[in-house]
Amino acid sequence: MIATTATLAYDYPAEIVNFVGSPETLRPRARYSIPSTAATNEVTSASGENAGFGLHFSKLSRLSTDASLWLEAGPPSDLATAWARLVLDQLQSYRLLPTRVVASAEGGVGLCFVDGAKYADIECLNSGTILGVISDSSTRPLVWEVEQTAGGIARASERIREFLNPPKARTNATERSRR
Amino acid sequence: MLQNGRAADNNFHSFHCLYCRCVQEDVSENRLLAARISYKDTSVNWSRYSKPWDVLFDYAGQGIAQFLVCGLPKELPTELPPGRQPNPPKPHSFFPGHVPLPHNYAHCEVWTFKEGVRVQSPKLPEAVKKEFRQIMSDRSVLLHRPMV
Repeated sequence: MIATTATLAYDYPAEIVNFVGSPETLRPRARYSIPSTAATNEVTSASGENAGFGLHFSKLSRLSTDASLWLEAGPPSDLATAWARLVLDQLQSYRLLPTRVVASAEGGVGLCFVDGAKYADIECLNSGTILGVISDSSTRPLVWEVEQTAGGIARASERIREFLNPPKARTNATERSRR
Repeated sequence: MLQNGRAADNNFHSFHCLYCRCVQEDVSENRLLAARISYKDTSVNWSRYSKPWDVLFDYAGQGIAQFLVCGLPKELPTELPPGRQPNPPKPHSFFPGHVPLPHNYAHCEVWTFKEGVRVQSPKLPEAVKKEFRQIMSDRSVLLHRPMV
């Protein structure tokens, strides 16, 4: 007796599969990788800058609605989210990609930078206050209140950029790229 | 560990550890993100009466972060805002308080103290709270990476 057969629908998960080898290979090998962004939207330099900012903007939108991302303080307010979007716009113009966008434990949105022992963030709180911090993990952290203007956000972004990429290191990198 | 009618202890030593659980959203590069640390009465377990993994009871897949009692921030704010102030803020310190629960005797909270007296509802400036959270992040150790 021959049972009726049907072809099962099978699609490669396009986003996470990269083929390796020439197209004429009969059985191309596939390299599967689960993006690290799946659970946390953590972004690394390898993620690509534009894609990285795209992920952060989409995570920022999810923070207001996805309760699994909140702590006891609850969701970020519309005000905090709006400020965070402006900060993220500014960071994008500086090409300074945050490592993570999270709901703050104090209520609001945190845009975090982690680079080894160096940590920095800009927190847009539900109260309307915007705070910045830089820390090298071994000395006292430096905390400041960010002025709620375009200039204030630009200065905070610049301060974090200088902390993560000191001018001397940036100059050396530029010189190396010229060689 | 069940409380079994035992009273609070509060004999903390500087080398004692405090444990808390964390999820992937709280962690990056083996660091607890400061933005994800709560300021008020942070809930922890005390190493005197528990093992690190006890914080994962009923929370499988989560991670474990550790603080030392001696690593809790002291004398905050470290710097006063510029300009003369008639009533400059007094320094605050942070120390664990034993708050045993019926099903978790090791449970503690990190309390705020001013001049040696606990402040129940501290009204510290946002920047000072942030400094506290950042120091906690800087001095935390991730013992076990979260899977969820």
